[in-house]
Amino acid sequence: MLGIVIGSLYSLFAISPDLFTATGKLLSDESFRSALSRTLKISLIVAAVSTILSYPTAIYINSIRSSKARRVALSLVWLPVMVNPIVRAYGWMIILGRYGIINSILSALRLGTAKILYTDTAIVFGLVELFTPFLISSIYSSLSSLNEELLLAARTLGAGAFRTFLDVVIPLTSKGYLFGLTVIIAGCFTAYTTPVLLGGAMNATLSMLLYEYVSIFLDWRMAVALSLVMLAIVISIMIVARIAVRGRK
Amino acid sequence: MKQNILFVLFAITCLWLLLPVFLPLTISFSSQPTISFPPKGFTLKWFYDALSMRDFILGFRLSLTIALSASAIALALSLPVSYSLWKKTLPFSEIWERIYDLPIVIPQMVLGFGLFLLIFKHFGLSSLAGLLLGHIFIVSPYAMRNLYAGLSLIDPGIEDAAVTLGASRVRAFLEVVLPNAKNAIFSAFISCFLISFNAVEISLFLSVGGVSTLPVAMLNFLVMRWDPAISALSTVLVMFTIALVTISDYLLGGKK
Repeated sequence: MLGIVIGSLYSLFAISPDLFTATGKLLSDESFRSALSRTLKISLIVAAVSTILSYPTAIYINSIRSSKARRVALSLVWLPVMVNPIVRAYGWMIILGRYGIINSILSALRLGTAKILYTDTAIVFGLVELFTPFLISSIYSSLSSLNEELLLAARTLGAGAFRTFLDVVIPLTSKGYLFGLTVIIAGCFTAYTTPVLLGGAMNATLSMLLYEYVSIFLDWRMAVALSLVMLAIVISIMIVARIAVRGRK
Repeated sequence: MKQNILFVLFAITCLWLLLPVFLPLTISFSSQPTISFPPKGFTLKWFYDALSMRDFILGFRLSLTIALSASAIALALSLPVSYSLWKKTLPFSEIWERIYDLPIVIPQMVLGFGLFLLIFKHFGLSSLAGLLLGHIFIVSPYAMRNLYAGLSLIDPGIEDAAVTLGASRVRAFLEVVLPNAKNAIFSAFISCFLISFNAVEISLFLSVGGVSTLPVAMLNFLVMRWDPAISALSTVLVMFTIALVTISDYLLGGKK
């Protein structure tokens, strides 16, 4: 396993002796900058929306009494992970497309049509769907290992539901939450299928740019530089998350 | 009251997550040649189209081969690691777990590109080798985690009991631990198979020379044009996935 990583990274380095000039050229490149800021914006929005969906869902699932019903709920939430991401992106095309569900509802109400597919909004819808199961399951696993009496104690001592959530649930699940968040943000930075199908060719993200360099422009020096930049971003996200988790302990 | 709000949010999340999975089913029988909703008419034409396209058939065969062999190899490689993690005999177990996190966080496209350079530039091997290596790598964390979760349901005492009763370590492992872990191994295999079968990003740069895996073939098709044949194919894939996930759940459920 390590051999595969080291081998691939080695060949990334080996191909371009003038890596620094390529990286410098990349960093000052206009299309790289716009792709970077778009990717950053999208992943922050996705992280926020996904958080709003995940916490209540995880709390609800954790509160289901019957263990059988709880397992069904968990598998419902986890099922999409096992389904091909292209199928799911295609599902979003049916919902958001020109003749899709949203537009047929809008035109039935005589409100005209909206262009949602091939915008950043469509990418956000798709990516939230792609990664939320990971956040739900990691919040759920910290919640389910949490001692139920702690919650009861907080309530008995007079804390309201909201206060209990803020002061007890959030600090105690923060480790699972941060892990899920890392998966989401790193995932958004590197997903290709969903952005290319829902965002269209005009709205490039970093991974789409990488694809263009490798397969369309055949500019492998730039592709190597971009790969290393993407790797560096993901690794720094992980390091920040680890420091945050340490700080929590 | 509070429970009701939670339930509504749970329902919204489920809708958000599951709607795109099941929508292709509804329009795969629609007789309209564009992707539109609500569906009109009834036809099986798209199923016939999808199942007779050469790219899809070849892609399906390739994906099946890669997914089966990558899952088997990854499980075989992960079994010793998860076994020693379970027995707590592995030194530096923390580091091993970190290593198994790598495939989840390293961008698949970056890895695929690196492998592409490695395999073609340095060794001149076929794309099949690259695909296989890449897929083994990305399914390994799922193999390890599922095996470990399965093993931790087993009482470590039974192996020691077998050894005390005179069985060798190897025999105790083969005849006592393995049969007990059988269901966990099968369900780990199903997870790995599905992850590999559906993986797109890792295969993108490794699908050269006219062979591409099914997801890459679907992606190329979908980028070029909109056609309900894709919804028929999606329907088949979703059904296939649900069947496998149900089997896997059943295997794990039977254990408890």
